[in-house]
Amino acid sequence: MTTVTTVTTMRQKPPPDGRFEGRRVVVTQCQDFMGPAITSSFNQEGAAVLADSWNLHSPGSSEALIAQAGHIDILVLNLMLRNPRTSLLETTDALWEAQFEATVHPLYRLICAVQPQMIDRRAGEIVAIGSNNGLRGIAPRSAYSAARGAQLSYVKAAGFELAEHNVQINAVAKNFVSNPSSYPEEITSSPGFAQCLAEVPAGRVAEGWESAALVLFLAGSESDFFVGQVFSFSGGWQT
Amino acid sequence: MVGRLDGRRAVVTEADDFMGPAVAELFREEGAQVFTDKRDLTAPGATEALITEAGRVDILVINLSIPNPRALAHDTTDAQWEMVFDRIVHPMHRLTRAVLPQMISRRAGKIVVVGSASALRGTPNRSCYGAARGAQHAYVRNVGLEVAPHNVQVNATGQIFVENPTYFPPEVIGTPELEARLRDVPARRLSTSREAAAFILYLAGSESDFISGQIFAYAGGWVV
Repeated sequence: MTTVTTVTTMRQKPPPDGRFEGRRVVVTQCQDFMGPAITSSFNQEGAAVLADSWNLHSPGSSEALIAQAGHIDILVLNLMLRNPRTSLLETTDALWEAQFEATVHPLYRLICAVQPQMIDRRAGEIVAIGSNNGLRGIAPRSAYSAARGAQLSYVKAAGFELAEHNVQINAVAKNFVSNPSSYPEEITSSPGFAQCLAEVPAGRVAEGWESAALVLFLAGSESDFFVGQVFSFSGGWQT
Repeated sequence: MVGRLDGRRAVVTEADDFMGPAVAELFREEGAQVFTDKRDLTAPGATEALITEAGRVDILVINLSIPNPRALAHDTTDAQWEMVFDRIVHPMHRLTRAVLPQMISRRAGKIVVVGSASALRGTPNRSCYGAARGAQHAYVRNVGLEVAPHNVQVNATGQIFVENPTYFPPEVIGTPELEARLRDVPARRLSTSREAAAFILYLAGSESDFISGQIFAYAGGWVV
C-alpha cells in the first residue's frame, strides 16, 4: 500500500504590478483548458486581452480571428479537444482527424496569420499551451499524444525560423494543473485521484495561476533569449 | 517588477564571477537580502562554513565556474580533470547537502544551479568541462525529484552566449570569432546578463514552485 500525502500548503499569487499595461493579447479557446487562468492573469497585469471562443476548426476562421484582432503583441495558442480514451485499434480516422483539426492545424494557421505583422514590427511573442503527453507516453491516449507532440515539434522549428526577426515562439508542456477541461474539481476531489498524485513528486495539482505565471514570463520581454523551446510544467512528473 | 523576493534570504556563491554580479544585483532590486560569498569553495569545510554563517537560507544560487575551460581531451591531465570537478561539481553537492535540512524542515526552499549549455550540446575542446557541467545537471535532475515532496525545488540552467565576466567578457564582444559563432545561434545575439538573471529569478521565486528537477537550456536556440 502506498501512503499518499497531499500537500496542502496555501500558495499566494504575487500581487500584480501592471507589467503588461498596453499590450494586446489574444487567447484562443478562452473558456477551455488554460484559457480562464491565462486570461485572468493577463487582465490583472493590465493587458488588453481579446479572449476568443471561436470554433477554429472551420476553414478561414484562424485567419479571420487574427484579422479581426488587429495589432497583436502576444498570441497565446490555447487549443484543446477532450478526446475519449481509446485503444490504438479503437482510434478511428474520425477521432484522429478531429484531434488534429482541433489542436494542430489551427496552431499552424494562427502562427502563419500573425507572423507578418510581428516580423514587420520586429517584436512579438507566441506561447503555445501544450501537454506533457507530447513528451511522455500515456495509455490509452495515442491520438491526443500525437497531436500534442506535433504542436511541440512545430513550435521548435517555427521558433528557430522567426528568432532572427525578434519574434519568440515557445511552448509550455503541462500536466497536473488545475483547469476546467482536464482537471475539473470533480476529478481532483475524487477518492481515486490521490493515487494519480503518487506519481507526481510535488504531490499536488498546481493552481491555474502558477502555470499562467510561466506563460506570462514567456510572453514578456525578459524571456526574449528563449526561442523554440519547450518548458515542462508538471510537478516533476516529466522533467 | 520590484519586490518579488521581499523578505527572502539568498546566498550567491562566487559572487564576482560568472552570473554572480547580475544575480546579486537583480535579487537585491527585488527585495532579497543577498549574501554574496567570494570564498574558495574547494577548501575542506568551506561549503559547510558558508551555509552555517549564512543562517536561514531561502534561496541558494550555486554559481560555480572556472576560467578558460578549453582543452583537448588527449591533453587533459588527471590534475586538470580533478581541478575542474573540484571547482564545479563537488562544492555543488556539499552546498546542497548542507542547506537541504533547514529547507526540508521549513517545507520551503529554492536551489538554482547556474549550469552550462556545454552539458547539452557538444563542442570540441570541452570534454572535461562538459563532463563536469553534465554532472551538475544529472545531480539536479535526481535531487530535484527527491526533495520535491518537501516543497523544496532544485533546478538548473544550461546557459551559453550570455554576457558575463567569466566566459563572455566585454573584450570578446564584437570579435570576428564571436560573430562567427553567433551565426549558429537562432537569436543571432548574446543575452545580457540581466536577461539571464531574470530567468534565475523566476526559478528562485514562488511562481515556479511546481517545477523541480528540471534543466533549462538558455542559449538563444543554440540548444533547447
